[in-house]
Amino acid sequence: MSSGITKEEEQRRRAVLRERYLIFLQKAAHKSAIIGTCENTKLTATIKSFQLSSEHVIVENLATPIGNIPKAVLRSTDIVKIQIDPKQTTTN
Amino acid sequence: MLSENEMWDLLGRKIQVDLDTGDSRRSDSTVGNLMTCDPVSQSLVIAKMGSDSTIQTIEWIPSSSVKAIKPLEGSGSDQNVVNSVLDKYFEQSKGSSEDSEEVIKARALKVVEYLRCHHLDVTEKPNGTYIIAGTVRFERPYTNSNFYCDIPIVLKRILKLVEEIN
Repeated sequence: MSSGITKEEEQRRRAVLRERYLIFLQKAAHKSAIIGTCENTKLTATIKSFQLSSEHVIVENLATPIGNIPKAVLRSTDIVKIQIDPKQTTTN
Repeated sequence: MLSENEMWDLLGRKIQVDLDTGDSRRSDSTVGNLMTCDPVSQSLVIAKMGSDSTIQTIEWIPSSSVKAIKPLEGSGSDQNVVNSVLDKYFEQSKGSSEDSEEVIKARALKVVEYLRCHHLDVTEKPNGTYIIAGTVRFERPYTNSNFYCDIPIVLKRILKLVEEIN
């Protein structure tokens, strides 16, 4: 359990962290991204949305070494990290 | 993985995240300022800051890729700037509607009247939420994106109906 922190404070912190995360997910939608995967591959795609549990990421126009895939669902366990440029305008 | 309280203390601070690439022969890590850590999925969101203290890149790291998190040192004054930049990033999504209370209320009434004309039962709750046909919630600030329902087909039909409102 937490040291010296009340349950209410713990709950407030979790709420703030979760809210920030959800705001990020909202902002990341429809943005181009570079996706690093476990096979040391860099893919590019447009993020459509993240599953709320973050287990999957739905993308469009996924460019892979073997070709482009119009729509795909990526498992987060296959992803090392996703890079997004926050300044880019939203793509359709 | 650090505890939630440790994550809270690291918010805005520069951290190094050692990544699990799935290949024991290849190690990788990334450095950035911690924006948030999702308490549900334990995913990390970090920001790579530029020399002008703006966010250059944001990285989303799933929990399965995180091997270790190490806080790095940073100067006090830089930390304040970083914190304010990150707070601004998250503030931009909130309160994006600058409409006055009257405009918001008028919009709600317009939609509610329209739905009632189409023989849909609409009830208002004390907190300002409208319940449409007992299943759909219509919340402030009463725009098209403020309809919520667990049943996708019902939501789709309501949204199609309100699209016709000018």
